[in-house]
Amino acid sequence: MKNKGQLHIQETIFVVFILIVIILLGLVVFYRFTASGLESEAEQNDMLRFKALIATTPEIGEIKCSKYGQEDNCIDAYKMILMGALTESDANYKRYMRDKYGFMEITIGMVYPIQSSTVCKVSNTKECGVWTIYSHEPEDYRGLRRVSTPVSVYTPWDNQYGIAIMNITRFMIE
Amino acid sequence: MRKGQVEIIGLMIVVVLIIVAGLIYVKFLMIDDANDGGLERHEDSIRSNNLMGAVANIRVCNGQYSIGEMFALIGGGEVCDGKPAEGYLSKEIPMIFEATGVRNYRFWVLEGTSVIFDTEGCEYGVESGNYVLIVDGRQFQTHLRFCSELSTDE
Repeated sequence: MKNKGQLHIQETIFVVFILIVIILLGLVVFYRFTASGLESEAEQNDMLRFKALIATTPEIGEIKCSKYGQEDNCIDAYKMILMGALTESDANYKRYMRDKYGFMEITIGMVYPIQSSTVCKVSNTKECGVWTIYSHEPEDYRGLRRVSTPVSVYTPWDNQYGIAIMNITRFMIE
Repeated sequence: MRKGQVEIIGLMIVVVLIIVAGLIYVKFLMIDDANDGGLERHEDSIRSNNLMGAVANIRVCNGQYSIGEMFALIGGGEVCDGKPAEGYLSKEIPMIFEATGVRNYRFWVLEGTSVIFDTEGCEYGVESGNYVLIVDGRQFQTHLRFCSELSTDE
């Protein structure tokens, strides 16, 4: 038979045990919320960096118009063809671009004054309206994410400017 | 342990649970506030600026005039296709924006403080920066606004 003191000790142990369980549960819930918050923040940050590409990609030196070293607010059609060819043929440049952009595709399609779905290549530079400056498609992906922006395209052969839509597609592999 | 002590512990547990629930609610409230379209507005702002830059470069009327030059010709006689500059731009500007997929917008041009061209449209939305075109010493401030869902058409 237990005396009164032993009963009190047992009660105290029971209460302390319950409190510890509650604290542990609280810690688990807090950890889960913090982890999910971090994941959501990382996702948002990633999205922001991806969407920022519509501001930075038209500005890359490889395709930006320039006259006597002075940059202009447009994209040069000839430079786009050369860049597309270079990403295919030059292994070092291809590696550099893949490090920079990863699994993505960047295409530019003229919409004004003319619209053409013919792809521009080194063999066909003028009678066309779609340029692919970078493409790295994985064998398997779970989804796509796409952003687009209007850009100014300069066609040096007729010294004219047009408006094109730059589409940046990211292949989601994870 | 006395009955009173047990009740106090029970009360404390209830208070702790209410505080935890309150914190979770506040956290969700903050997440909702952070996701209220800030990213989309930022994206639209970049798009409208890029579009204004592209529009400023093009030449219209069979390559005869730049857009800025056309603004300078507003108020004059016939300039293109037997139309005055304003009439020609009223037809051409919507065509340009439609080609780029922009439908719900307002585009207007100011010379000084007076509006010389206005497609009319919404009152609220995401605006491009003040894009200035200078033609023969005359300054034209062009504005483009992508209408938001809250906009009311005039």
